[in-house]
Amino acid sequence: MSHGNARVAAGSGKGRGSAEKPLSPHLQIWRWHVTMLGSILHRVSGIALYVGTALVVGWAVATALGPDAYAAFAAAAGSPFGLVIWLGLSAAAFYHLAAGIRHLVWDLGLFMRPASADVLTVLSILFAAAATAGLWGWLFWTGAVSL
Amino acid sequence: MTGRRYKAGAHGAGTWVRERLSSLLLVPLSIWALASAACLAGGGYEAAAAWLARPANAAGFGALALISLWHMRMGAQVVIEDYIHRKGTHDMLSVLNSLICLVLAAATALALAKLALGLDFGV
Repeated sequence: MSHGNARVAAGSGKGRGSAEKPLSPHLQIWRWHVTMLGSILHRVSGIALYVGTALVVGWAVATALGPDAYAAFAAAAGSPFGLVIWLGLSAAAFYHLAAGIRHLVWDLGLFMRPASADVLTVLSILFAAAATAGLWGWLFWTGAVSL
Repeated sequence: MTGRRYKAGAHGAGTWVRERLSSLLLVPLSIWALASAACLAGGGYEAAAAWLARPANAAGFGALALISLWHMRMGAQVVIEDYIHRKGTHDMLSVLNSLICLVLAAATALALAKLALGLDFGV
């Protein structure tokens, strides 16, 4: 990947004997870094949004089926369990959006140095946290949702 | 090589472009969707049905759903190719992935046809 080699912990790839070939980097010898967390979160949030998209399509279908189907959907969606799911899905959506924009920026060849890449990643995580808190603060404050 | 087995050499560049194109389109659409969801939350059936019946919203929702399904089918395919190496399981999950996305696309089209175009399917 982009700057992977710079991240390999010192001393990696050294075999016991000089005749041994260096091993390629693997998970255990990678120093932890924030772009790794960002990448994992991007994939996890994407998988969560797979389910989220199905639920949003379910909302449209329930609306099309009429008031009874809609009421059943709304009861499940507005239950404490449902709200936890939507909370998680909104966080996934905000993060995947920010991380996706981050990838589009990288595709332009910008913010590619490790320090700049870290900054973009931290910003996308902070944005997702702030936007999720803002959205749910607003939803509860306006009374759109309640427990 | 996994890439060779799945002929990445033949369609890799096209996939790269489709991933970026769908991402670009989804940036404004998902922001609009999140804002709309915040406004519709707790609004009840009448508000939801009226919102989806408006042509601009129906078109936006249709675009959001179809481009999301296109994007997530590609994304899930990458996940399947990264982690599932047994050919039978890989092929089964790939077909399932496509099938789920197609069914959801059809469901979206039917729901919007009824709500926005007034087509009656008898349900």
